[in-house]
Amino acid sequence: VGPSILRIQGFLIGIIFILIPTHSLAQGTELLPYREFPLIGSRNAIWIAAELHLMFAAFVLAIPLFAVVIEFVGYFKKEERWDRLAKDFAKLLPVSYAATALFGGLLTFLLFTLYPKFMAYLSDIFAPTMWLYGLLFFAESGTLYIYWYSWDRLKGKNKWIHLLLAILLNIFGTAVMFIGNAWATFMMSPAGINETGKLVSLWEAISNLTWWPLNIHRLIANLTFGGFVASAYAAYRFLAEDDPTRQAHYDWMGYVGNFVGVMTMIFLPFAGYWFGIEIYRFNAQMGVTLMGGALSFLWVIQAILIAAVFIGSAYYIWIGMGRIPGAERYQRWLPAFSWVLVLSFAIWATPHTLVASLEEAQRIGATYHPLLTFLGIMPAKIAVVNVVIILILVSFLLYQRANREVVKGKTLGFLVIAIPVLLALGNLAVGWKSYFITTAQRINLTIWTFFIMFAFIVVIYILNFISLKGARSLGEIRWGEMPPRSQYALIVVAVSAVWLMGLMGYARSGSRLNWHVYGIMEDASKEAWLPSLGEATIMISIIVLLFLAIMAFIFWITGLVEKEVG
Amino acid sequence: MRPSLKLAAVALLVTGFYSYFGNTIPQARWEPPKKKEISKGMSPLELASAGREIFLGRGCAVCHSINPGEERRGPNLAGVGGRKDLKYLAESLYNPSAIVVEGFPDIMPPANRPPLNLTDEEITAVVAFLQSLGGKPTVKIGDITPPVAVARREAPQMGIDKPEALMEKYACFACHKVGEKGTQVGPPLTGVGRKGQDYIRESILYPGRVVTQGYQNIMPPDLGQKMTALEFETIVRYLEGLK
Repeated sequence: VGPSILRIQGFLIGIIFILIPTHSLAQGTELLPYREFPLIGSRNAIWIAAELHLMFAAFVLAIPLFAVVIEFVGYFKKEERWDRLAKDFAKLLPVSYAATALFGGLLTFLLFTLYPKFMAYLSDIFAPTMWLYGLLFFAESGTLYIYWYSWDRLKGKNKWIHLLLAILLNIFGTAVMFIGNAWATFMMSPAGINETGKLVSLWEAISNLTWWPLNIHRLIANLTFGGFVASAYAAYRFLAEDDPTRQAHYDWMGYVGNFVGVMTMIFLPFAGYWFGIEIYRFNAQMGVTLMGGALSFLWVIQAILIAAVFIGSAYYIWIGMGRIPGAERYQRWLPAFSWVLVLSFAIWATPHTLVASLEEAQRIGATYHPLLTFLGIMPAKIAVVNVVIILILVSFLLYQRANREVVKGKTLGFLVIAIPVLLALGNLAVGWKSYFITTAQRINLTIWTFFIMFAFIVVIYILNFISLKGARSLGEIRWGEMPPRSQYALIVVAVSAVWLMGLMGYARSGSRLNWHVYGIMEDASKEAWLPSLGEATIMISIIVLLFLAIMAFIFWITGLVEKEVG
Repeated sequence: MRPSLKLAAVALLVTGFYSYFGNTIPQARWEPPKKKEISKGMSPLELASAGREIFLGRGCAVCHSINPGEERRGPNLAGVGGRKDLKYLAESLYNPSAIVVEGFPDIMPPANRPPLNLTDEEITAVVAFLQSLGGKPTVKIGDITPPVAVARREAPQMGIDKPEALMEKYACFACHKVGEKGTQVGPPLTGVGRKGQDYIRESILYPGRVVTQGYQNIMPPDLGQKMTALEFETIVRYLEGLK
């Protein structure tokens, strides 16, 4: 598979390099502003190619990130099973990487042929970074294939070389993503140009206001995405296997994937707030469009999706307690946990502005509901999101403590549970206080709340680790003893996470309304309108199903290769 | 049923549910604003009517209510025509940061700049509409002169190639010397580029923070605030080049 994929990538990159300078050669001749794509239209063609490219890219950037951590664990613990798990995750990489490159190439072709004038402008601003992107992409491809094909050769005393390759792969992959993010965020919050749109400073164009927030947001979101998709793979293999040993392995793999997904996802709201703050700093009107204007109802769907991911994930953890001896003592708390989750998400899903258009507002005579408006604003939402995060953390803590009986350090054990409860109450108090302060003070408070939460999460995990030292085991986890519904929960979580990514892509692009580059280059095409949420959700579902179908094909191919090797 | 088929069914059900849900909530397709045709001969009343359409259709009402007592992000504009004169209304559209109503954030972009990008005629129509809220529209096309400082972007700008003109505009040479030009009340600026962009930015925005030894801090503390972003960047780049 490898060499032929490399040839395809080489061909695609070559074409991309030919296309970029085409514009320079064409200077002096009039460029067409737009071309039409048959049947589905230009914008839909770009939408599909871009989203599929981003989904595969997220996956191939995420897998090496957590595979390297698992590989390091195996290296230091000197336990083969961790290395096997890391390799199991990494084996999805080669074919997924080829799909990423194929859709990246397709996207580039479509952009240069359908939006030539816009791409000419973007390459005028970013040409050097596009060349660098190509070089880094080559470096990433080479490193990835060496990393994968040298796995078995670089064992034992040479393992450090393999670990070094893994680190290099992550560095190249992250750098590629950061460059792509510079282009995308420049379109949202352009900088480094004068008022006529001419480049003044390339670095300022790259490091525009939303660049770092998007970098961090995508870095975390990729991990979440990769974790959940990998856990879906494990679920698929678990359900398809008859051999109990292999089922146990895929059960463990599913657990780790879900753990990575949910533990990284709890940091996403904070990255999202930062992104939002920078959007408002750049242009408050863009922020209003996103949160209270044309896209306000999108956040209701987002809340439903996040609820599905968190609740599905928590459900999986709770079912998982059934395979842990000693977990019975915690299971009585689970119904209460479910209610807290459902209630929290109901508050999160409450929109602030209940009208979809100004005409509707005029008919109703107001834009806010007299009571629900208090649940629709950020103080309530931040408080409940933090409560959900704490609840998920507690679920994982209970999971880890389920088969242990603490003999010494019972006070520490008590603190491990008491601190999160106090944190949750503190968050509700901060939420209440936030109603009575200015927006600027609230944003400050949110940032401080995040740091305090983060510090406490670290403290809780340290205390947990110490308190479990020397604890008496109540029995081994019975990996593989999971009912099928637990695996379907993982599938629902993964599909929802992929769908969520599609929705957020629509939100980010939609926030620019009818601008290719906000405030600089207007979209003058006949498709400059913003699709309604209903139209967008149909398109997102089509893209998600396409992604899942290709992913299923990748799972199947990977399984075939494994059988051949086996 | 084979597991792979079951999984496909689950994926179809989940995505189908989200699309179904997305289609059950209120729908609005956002259309790009259409330029309003405004002729020179329109009466103030006709302008007010056109201005109302612009106000409601171009997003002003997202932040400003015209219903008494209703609060939004921006000030309530009910009765504003009876309280404020023509000059105030025009300036609040062309240069909203100059007159921020107490208790409200400075978040409004100038109406003649993107993303609103209203023409001068459209702004006049909006002013006529605002006059009609609690007053009588009197403004006609040509009555409002757009302020020079916020002229449209198509107008010739004090660009990157004229930094010395900006230095003179802000009387920098009254205290600083560049080569043979200027006087030496403050530290000479020849060679200031070696200190780096951050130092230069800080010196303009917060002159009190970095006072050169042997000189007094007499530089106006609000100098940076008086400049537009482009002017500020132009001066910073010019000084950065003095190495």
